[in-house]
Amino acid sequence: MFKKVRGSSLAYILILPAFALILIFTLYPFGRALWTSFHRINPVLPGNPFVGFSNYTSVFSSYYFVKSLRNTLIMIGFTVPIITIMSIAISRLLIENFYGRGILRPAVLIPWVIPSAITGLIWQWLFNGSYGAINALLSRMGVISDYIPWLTEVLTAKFAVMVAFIWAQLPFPIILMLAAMTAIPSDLYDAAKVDGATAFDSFRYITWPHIRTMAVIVIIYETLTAFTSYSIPYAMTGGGPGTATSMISYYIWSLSFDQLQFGKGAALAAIIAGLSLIFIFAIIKAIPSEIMLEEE
Amino acid sequence: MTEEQERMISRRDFLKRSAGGAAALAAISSGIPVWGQDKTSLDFAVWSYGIQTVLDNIDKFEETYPDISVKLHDFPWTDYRSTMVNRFRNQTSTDVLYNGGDWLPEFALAGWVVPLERYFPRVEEYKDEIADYAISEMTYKDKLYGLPYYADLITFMYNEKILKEHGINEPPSTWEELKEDSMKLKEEGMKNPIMYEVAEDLPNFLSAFWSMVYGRGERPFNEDNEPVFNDPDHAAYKQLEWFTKSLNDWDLATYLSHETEVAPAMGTGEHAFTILYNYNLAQLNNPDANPRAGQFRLGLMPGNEQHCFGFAKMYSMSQMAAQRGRGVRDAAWKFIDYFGGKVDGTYKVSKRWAVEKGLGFAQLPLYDDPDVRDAWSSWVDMDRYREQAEIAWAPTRTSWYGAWSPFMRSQMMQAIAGEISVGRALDNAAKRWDELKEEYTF
Repeated sequence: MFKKVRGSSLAYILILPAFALILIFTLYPFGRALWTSFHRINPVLPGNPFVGFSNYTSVFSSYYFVKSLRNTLIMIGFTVPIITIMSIAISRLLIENFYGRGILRPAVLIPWVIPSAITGLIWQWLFNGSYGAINALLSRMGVISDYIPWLTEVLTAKFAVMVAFIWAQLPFPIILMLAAMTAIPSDLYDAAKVDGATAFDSFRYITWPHIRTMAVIVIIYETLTAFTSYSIPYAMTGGGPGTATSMISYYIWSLSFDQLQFGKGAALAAIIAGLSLIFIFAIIKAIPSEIMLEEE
Repeated sequence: MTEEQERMISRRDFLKRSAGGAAALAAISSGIPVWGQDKTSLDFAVWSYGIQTVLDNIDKFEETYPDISVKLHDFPWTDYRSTMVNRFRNQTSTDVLYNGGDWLPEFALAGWVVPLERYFPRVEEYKDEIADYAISEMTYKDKLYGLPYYADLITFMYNEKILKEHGINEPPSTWEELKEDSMKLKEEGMKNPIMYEVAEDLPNFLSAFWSMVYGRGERPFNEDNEPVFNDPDHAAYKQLEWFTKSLNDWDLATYLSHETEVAPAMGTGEHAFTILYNYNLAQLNNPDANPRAGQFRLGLMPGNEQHCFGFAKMYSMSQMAAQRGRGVRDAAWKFIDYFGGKVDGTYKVSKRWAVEKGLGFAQLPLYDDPDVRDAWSSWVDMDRYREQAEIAWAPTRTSWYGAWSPFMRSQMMQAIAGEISVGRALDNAAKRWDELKEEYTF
């Protein structure tokens, strides 16, 4: 039967299954969400009237939107660089031959297998202001005299949530970095040693050029993950104190499922999708062009 | 016909068997007894609390009614309302469910739950034995939509031993007295005498706030369901100011985001006062769970009037169950009657929750039940509880309350953090109430 199909027609037929999946699971939901964002959708109320851009203007003018977006950007600004740098440092250590490496390598993956809601609960207990282990430890070490209310003060709550997020996120970037470092030929390091290169020189001139593409992938991935972070902040602080740890993803959930304003929730989701795209383009634009060119 | 042909299924046979199978599947999923499956099935949705007890109660129910099988679906408390909205919206099979007074008007307006008395006039017989505030919680447009799963109060609790050690012999009866006592405790070394349960995603947070407002003797809405809480002279305004000052200015209070954290925090002896769902007092005074068990007492809610928030959670029947036919409706009634009503002359299931978990109850005869009194005597002064229950107020419930509550909580959180003033938070909440009222009135 394929004899009758010629040229580009065959190509179209072959990509049809993949296109159908994308249509069903990506394009249709996205289109539906866009449609929803221009209507008032409340499951309790009759009708779905068209409301134009009012859902968008309502979201943009909301104090809560500004606040939660700012919190999310702060989270990205602090956690993504730390995760990237720590993953490189830990991978560099783990690539070396040392006693116990066989145990340590799988051990760093432990946070990855713990569901994020459980991670939030674990850290909530650790940071608990009345009976948390961190306060107990600091107190026994003589670092603090009074227990710190980690989760009910603005700055300490932000700090605690970021620590938990970094802890939960680290394993995957470590795996990526380890994979990139493993691919570096060891004779390059041997040659550098013969030439009298320091450890810093080896990292700068051998390791970094080989892992920088992976570093970009980690930055993009972690930026998007932080953008949609939800479980950890909410398990730890419920968004508080005040709105100090309220994230934009919670605002989408709250608008849609708590306040039953599915139109506004969809408008916010569309805004976030647009912002995510801008982020990705900005990151790619900021990367030195030779990194992108070497992949082509 | 050859042996091989006999083994092969004909197209017609295939269609027949497929249609038969599909019909059986449809019948099973709709709860209609089919050949070889003579049970009526019920889908029962709950929030995750005491699941082992729920399952055990279901087993006992199924032993009593062997022709009915019950499938349990449980969801986290904080996500329960949104989960149920989506289940109903998507017509996910749900026959009987936990329901709350705060969601009842919304669910009833959408036609997702049905009044019990429309199908089961016998439910009327229970009304005389159920506390008024609980009846109010289970009623929408003069129709009763459920029988109580439990009913409880949001109460003021204190550590009697700590107070006495500091020369405070009586619990505070007004907010001014609470401030004075807390100041005294703070001066004598206790950093945060008051512990609250506060989290934006937690409906309890707002309910506890209303309980404090009721203590002052005012309701947040007038008889026409118009907001009055944003008037600076109103109890709610004064109470939110008191609340934020206790946290930020006087530094007398702190908070945790869930009652399960508050109870162990109270057990550290670092706090003397809290306001929680009353069943937490059972946990506070449980020697297996708290090193300071036996020290905690129930006090009447501070304020001039000392009312508190009384609420009921109920078993409701869904519209889906009502539409599935008489067999399912009858099974649903047997279920609701067994769980929320009387079995062999006693409120068996409600009594079990009260005795084993300390859950409050709406059924008045249980106040005099010797088993309940005996179990409760180890953790609460039953007469004090009854005194508080008799002056408990059922909160205002409207079809838009469920959608408004998260907005109000977000405004309160911003006021607590000092991001906006109390006045602005309450004005914003009142404005949102008016918008929703207009939207939901059609």
